Amino acid sequence: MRLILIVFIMSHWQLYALDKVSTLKIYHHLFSVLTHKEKALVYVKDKAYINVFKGSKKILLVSSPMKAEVILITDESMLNEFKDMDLPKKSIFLTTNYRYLKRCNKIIGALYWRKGRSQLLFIKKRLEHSNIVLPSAYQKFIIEEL
Amino acid sequence: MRHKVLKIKSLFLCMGIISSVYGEDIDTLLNDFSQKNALSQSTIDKNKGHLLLYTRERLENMHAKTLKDVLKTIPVLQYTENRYGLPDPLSMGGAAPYSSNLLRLYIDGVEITQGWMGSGVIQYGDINIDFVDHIELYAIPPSFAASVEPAYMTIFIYSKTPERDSGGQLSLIVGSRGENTQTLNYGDEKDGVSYMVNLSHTVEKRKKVDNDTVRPLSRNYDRTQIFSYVKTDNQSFHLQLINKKSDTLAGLSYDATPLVSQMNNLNVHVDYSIQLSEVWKAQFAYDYLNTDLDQEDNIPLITSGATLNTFLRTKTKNSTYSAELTYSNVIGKHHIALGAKGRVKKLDSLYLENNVYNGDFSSAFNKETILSLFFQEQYELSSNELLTLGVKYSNISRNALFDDDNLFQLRLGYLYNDDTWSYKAYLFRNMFTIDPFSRYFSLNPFKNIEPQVTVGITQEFSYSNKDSEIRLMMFFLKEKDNLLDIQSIENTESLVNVLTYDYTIDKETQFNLQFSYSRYFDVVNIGDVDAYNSYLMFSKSYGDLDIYNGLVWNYRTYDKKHHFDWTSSISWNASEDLTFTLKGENLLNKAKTYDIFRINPLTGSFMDPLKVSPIDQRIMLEMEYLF
Repeated sequence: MRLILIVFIMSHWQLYALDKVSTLKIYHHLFSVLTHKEKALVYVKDKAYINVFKGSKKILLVSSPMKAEVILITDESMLNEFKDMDLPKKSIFLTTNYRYLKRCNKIIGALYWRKGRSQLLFIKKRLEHSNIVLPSAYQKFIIEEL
Repeated sequence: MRHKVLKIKSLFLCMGIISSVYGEDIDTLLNDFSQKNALSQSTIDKNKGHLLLYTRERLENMHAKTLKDVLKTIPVLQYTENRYGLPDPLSMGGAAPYSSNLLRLYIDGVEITQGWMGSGVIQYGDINIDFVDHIELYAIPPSFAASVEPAYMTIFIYSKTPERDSGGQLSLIVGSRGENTQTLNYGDEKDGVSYMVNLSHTVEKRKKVDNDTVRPLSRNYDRTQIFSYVKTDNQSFHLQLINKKSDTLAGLSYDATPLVSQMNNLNVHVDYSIQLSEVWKAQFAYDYLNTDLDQEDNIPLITSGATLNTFLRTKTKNSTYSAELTYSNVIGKHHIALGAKGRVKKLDSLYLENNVYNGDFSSAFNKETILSLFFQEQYELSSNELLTLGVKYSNISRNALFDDDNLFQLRLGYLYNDDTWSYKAYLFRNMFTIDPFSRYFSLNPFKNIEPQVTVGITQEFSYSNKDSEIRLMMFFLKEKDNLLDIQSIENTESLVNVLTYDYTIDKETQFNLQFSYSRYFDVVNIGDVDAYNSYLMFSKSYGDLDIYNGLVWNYRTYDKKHHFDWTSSISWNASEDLTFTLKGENLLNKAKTYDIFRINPLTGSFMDPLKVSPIDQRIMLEMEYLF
């Protein structure tokens, strides 16, 4: 497979190059659930996620957070930038870091890593505040509060 | 009412979208996301050799806290210590200061070496691994692009990254014998710069070894360990420091009854790597080791020369400088890698104190220089077939009239891979030399020891589906001038078969089996020796509880003894940030043992060897807090 050759040329700094197929699948699933749309307008600054989402017909990257339905917070600087920014009320904040979920009440949920395992978590009150209803399969990922 | 209707409408709309988008449920997607991303690290290069991968999830499931916890489970080799109580998996129990020079250890792609004293395994073989994300072990033959010096097995340790482990971690462990470890880890990323610092302190109280005297042998140690890095997109800098004060078990005592047996080591490693362009990369590393040895007995010690010393105190300082420049590019169907690597091992100073001498000792042989050139081609035969060819030439020059060595190594490989099946085969010729310290202080009067030549053929078959993977690896090796037995230079042959099976039952339940059968042909005075090893693990999560059970089994026809090492742990995740773990090691107290040879000082004859287990029976309690 050509994949074999591609793996060879990556440098060791790109330690967490995301797996494109599985990452696209789960984020498309999540964005669809959160926006109730098959196609979601997403704003993210992280290069690794941009590379994964780029070209997707269902996750449409936007250049301005004002146009986004979902804003994916992936690092500290992004968190600080958006914590107090006035954005359209419909904007949904999701993060890849559990600590950011604790630190910012705007963020409704997180898909993050804990001890090598992916974890999904939503905060009930924040979902209610954003008028988001998740399917029953998601109930086990919803907690009352942190 | 209107709100309720809206909610129901939303729910149906949502369900409609989800079912139309993907048939898979969120649990399946999460599981797939975890597994695929664990394997997506670009460091994992199956063409380096035959890979045993310990992903972060597996390390967490095993509750592995030291590299020893991992090495004791790997097939064939497994974890052993030497008569000094130091990690030395290839030790045969004799007086050799270090036998595992053929095992090489890397952290984040840079080799850790003790230079004069051999590979980094002796210092790093039991380090705390709280800073580690995943570990890759490549059995022979490694890619020439990866190594400066030849290796039987390369251990690649990769540190945690802020992308998955930002923030802090505090871990406190206390064991049933009073041993304790404190670890503090912090990492983050800001403006494209990521960093991590890991501090760890261990007071290890090992089980004493009875030597038929009132003074049983001790192998306790006190170790402080610092691991840190700073990385950008194209540069990385590491600083590591280990300060270890150890009781060295039998040490240099002939009959394993030392009055004093201690060693202090200070090890510093610094490296810097830079990606000069898309295809060129440069790397520099410096390793420093300061060793203070203190040995005393009431009879002469195992030391070379005619002087009968009853005590020996040395202070040894040595430095290793490594540099490499590599090129890697894909041109059409060719992936070409080539480069030059250099290393200088220098004995900086040696202070010696014994019955007849006291002062600095000037060793004429104090420098070894290695220069290597390699070329490696990987040609894409078809969309799922690769042909690989690698050649490497190394010149090892030594001062003080010690012979130089010219090593020529070759590797030819074929790889097939489709969605479910894969096959790989290698034909190779490797050459190994003994480390300078062993060469100089060896009891062998002939300091010019011939390099070992190993010729081998290896094959690996694997089948995988969504939930499981089964692999069969077969190695046949033929060795000339085997370095592991330099006293009676001999040629050896061995056949090694390894079977692995991984089964992910669901996101919370995992099963893993590693089994090996090895035959060593015509071992001197014994004949053929068969060895069987297996590691069976099962991990399961029930709500807030994580349970792990692992069983290591060893059997050799040589002594016809079965050894079992059962490790069990239960973790309670009190919250997302706080975990308590109770762990038992060697619970059956039947873990493998190794022999420490003893000689009766009165008769000069061999006594029954001491049977020492490198794995202590113990219970540990751990608290881990993430912040």
